[in-house]
Amino acid sequence: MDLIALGFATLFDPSVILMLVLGVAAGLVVGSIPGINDNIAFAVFIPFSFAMPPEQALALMVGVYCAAAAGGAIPAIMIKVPGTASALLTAVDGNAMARRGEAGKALSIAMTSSVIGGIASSLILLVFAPMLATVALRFGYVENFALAILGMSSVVGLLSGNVIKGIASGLIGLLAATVGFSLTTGFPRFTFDNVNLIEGIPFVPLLVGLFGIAAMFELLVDIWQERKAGRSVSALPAIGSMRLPRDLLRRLLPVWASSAIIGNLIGMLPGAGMLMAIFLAYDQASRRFRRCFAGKPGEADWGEGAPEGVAAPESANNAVTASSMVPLLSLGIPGNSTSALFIGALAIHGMVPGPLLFTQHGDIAWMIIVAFLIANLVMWPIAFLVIKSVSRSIFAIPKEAMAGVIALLCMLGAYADGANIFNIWVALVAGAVAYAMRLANIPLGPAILGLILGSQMESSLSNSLSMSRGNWLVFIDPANHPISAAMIALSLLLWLLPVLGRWRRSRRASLSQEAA
Amino acid sequence: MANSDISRPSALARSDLWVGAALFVIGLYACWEASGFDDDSRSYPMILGGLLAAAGLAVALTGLLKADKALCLAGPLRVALPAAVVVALWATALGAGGGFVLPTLLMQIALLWLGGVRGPLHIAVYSALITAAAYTLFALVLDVRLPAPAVSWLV
Repeated sequence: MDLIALGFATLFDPSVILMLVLGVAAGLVVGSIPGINDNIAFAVFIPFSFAMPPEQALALMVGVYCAAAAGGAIPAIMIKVPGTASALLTAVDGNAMARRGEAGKALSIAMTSSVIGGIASSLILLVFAPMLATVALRFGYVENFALAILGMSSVVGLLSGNVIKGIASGLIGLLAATVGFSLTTGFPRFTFDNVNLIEGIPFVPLLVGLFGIAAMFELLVDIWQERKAGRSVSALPAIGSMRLPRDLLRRLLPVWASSAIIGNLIGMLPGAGMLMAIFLAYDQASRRFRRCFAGKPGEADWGEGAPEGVAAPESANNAVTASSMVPLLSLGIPGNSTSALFIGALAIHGMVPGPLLFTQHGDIAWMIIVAFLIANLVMWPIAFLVIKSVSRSIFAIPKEAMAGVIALLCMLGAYADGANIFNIWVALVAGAVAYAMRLANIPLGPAILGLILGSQMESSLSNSLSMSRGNWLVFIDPANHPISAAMIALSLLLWLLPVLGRWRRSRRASLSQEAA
Repeated sequence: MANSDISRPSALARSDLWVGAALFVIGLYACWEASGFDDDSRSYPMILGGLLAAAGLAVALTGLLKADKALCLAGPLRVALPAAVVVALWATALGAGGGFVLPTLLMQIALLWLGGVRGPLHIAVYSALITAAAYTLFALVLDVRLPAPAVSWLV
């Protein structure tokens, strides 16, 4: 308790709290610009923090880290271009809501969900950080492989249409993740003698292309079709009212709770990353939506503007921001790429994350944890101010001019990740592939998940098998690897539940037919 | 959206047939390429390539057997393809030392025209504003080293 009080005392210095608030505002603004992801936002602010005292600098970075993840939802909802990778699923239902005139409601759900996920995660971090770190330590190669399998199984919720195409999409992602040096022998695979591919396909340009450039193509075709049909080109959605009715808040409560729990659990696992959390949360929310609301009058289909489709990923991604600090602060292991940059910010000020951080710099370590809670508390009003002012100005740009804006921001965002022209080509090819996949009705989600989990899956599989001398049963060994066995069982359930549900529905239908 | 432009196609015009065939070829190619890797690095991509080929075959067969719909490609070919070419030319110009401002202005003019903006004044004002805003944000605020021009008088 004394340590938490020490954290609060350090944070509530006026200059430190001011930096935190500035970081939140800056993160929201940067996150809301399409093409500038949270890694770039974070990297931009690190040099600013050089000259500051460590507590001010780290408060600024916590604010940017929390808010950039939330701000990414704004362009995702308004123009279907996620500002950050963590908002890629928000773009699906959020943009559908915006297109039917509920942009303000979608933005409000996104911000409220982010704040709730972030606060829940901060409280858990505050109370359980040292205990959670011991759970994270139990994750070895076997558990990591099982976790990757669980992550891939979460795509089941996304495959409402053609399952084979969904599986093919996942395989494309896994195959693309093998590009680059082999993790076991260093053999160059699918690099075509191009040095830029030695470490794999650059991830930031790839994501920028898959979402931003594909959205640009879609927007241009949309305008062309409106003109061809003789209609005047519709404007970008207006933001409108941001009030959330009380019954909607009640309806979203279970989604926020389950997504925050998923975000916390995934965030504290080293290397699991934010994207796996949002996919798992989205999958859970889709199951609840189909069970409770699908088909009812006035309800949109899943993926066509369901409020749960915005609430789940946004709550989960901000829950990850704080919980990813568990392995980072206590073990020195980053939970995702942005939290890896956090290590850089700490190192600049002479601090090394790990168990010693709490003994040598207890005031700073606990201030960081407390800062996550306060950053999420102040984010809600600041987010509304940013949406009402900055975002309104950005999205007042005419729809016809928006394609050029998206293309330029996305391409420069891709280029800025290493100042390499090759990244622009990666983004362009990825955008063309994503657009072709959309035309062919191949879902993009499984491919993204395959890309993210591919290398983790391969390395943990090969290491697990070599440690167990080729024994495949190691993954379901409840005595030595109970966590892995539980996750494999859960993955199986995720695949079996829809099949069982369909079988039950058809059986019920045939019974009622017989009765009639 | 493009998906709304659909019509009843002949067997060869069914999109799933071609999508499945493309996935099948990509999967087989991945298998063939992976067969040249060393012993420890080949099995994982080979398995993935084989599974992708199988999935592609399944998609193609489903497309042949089911009354599939074909997508109208007029929009993508008339607008998306030229836009991709414009961006590719812009990237080539940046790489060839054309500087940032001139290629970006030209790209914006082309994309604005493709987006349906008409009138030289509108196009000139929008393209200049977008280029200036992007330059300010990336070069001046974010301190990104933009591609260097081959000649000193270009920016």
